[in-house]
Amino acid sequence: MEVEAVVEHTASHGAHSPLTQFEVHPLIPLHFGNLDVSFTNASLWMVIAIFVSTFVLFMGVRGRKLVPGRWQSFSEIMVQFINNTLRDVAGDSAMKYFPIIFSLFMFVLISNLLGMVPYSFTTTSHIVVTFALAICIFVVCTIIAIAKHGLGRFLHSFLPEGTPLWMAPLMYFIELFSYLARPVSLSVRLSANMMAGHTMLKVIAGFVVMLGLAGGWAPLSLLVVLTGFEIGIAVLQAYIFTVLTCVYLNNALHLH
Amino acid sequence: MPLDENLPSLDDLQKKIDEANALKGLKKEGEPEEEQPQNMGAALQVGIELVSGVAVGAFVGYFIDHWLGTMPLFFILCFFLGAAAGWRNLVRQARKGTGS
Repeated sequence: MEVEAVVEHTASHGAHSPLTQFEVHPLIPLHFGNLDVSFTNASLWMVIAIFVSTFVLFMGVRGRKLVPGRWQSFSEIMVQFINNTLRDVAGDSAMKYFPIIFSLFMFVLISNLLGMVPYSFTTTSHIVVTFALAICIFVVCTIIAIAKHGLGRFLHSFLPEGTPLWMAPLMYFIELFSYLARPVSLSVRLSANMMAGHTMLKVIAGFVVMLGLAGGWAPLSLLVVLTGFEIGIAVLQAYIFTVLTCVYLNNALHLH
Repeated sequence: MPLDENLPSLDDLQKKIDEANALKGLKKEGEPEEEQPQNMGAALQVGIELVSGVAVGAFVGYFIDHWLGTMPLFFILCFFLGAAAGWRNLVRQARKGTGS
């Protein structure tokens, strides 16, 4: 009975919906003609993500000791990690794109982890943000491929080797569409994972409040486990996003 | 004799090996539970690949139709091409997954 009352209460007021955390509202309204470019809470948290990643790396390179301290160790591990990933996936010729890949990884990683801070806003749970990143990667990779191999060779690469002639038109368009689907799946993967995880956390947290002191301990313990799990997912998804970017870069550099 | 006393230690050693093997076996049994989240991720992956293929196909088809004024033709064509592309990505992903 009590539980029902609580459910009704939250339903009627809508204050504790698990989806309110994803609402975007303008902090500083800005309009250019018909274009709404307001500074929103999403923008604020992206700026914070940039500042945090810059701060962490700045603290890392400030000392430059032979025996690294905590900040320096963290920065060195991150750089080494992305360095190895990029070299393994895309080869030595891709090393000149290291700065952009590293910036991308740090931005996504810090954004994901900032989302785990209570009362914060997870920018990467919005498909707009991740799609903007993914479409930039897609366009840049396409430009690299065309610049390096020429337009003819790039267009020819969509045809898998050994395709029978009567299958060629069909296969060509299937491959073309699978190439076009890359930025979509790249962005949806990250935002869907972040959004699903955060919604789940809020729903379980809602159970804690509903069950109260008597039965709330069970979902609370689950919540602790899930929070740890979610931090793991935040790091893993940032890594997957980076690795897939490296894979696309590799495909662009070494057309088959 | 001290040598006789040393002899049973071979049995002890065997026992230790068996224990270690049993421990290893336990760990192997425990592994599938740890893989559960990865399987969940793979399932999500399947959905995303399929849906993104169809979505891109439908979007491109709709755009071409809007542009040329041939409403259902390219929409339907590209919808199925997009679905096929989604499957193609899926198969590619699955092959890579079993390879590593």
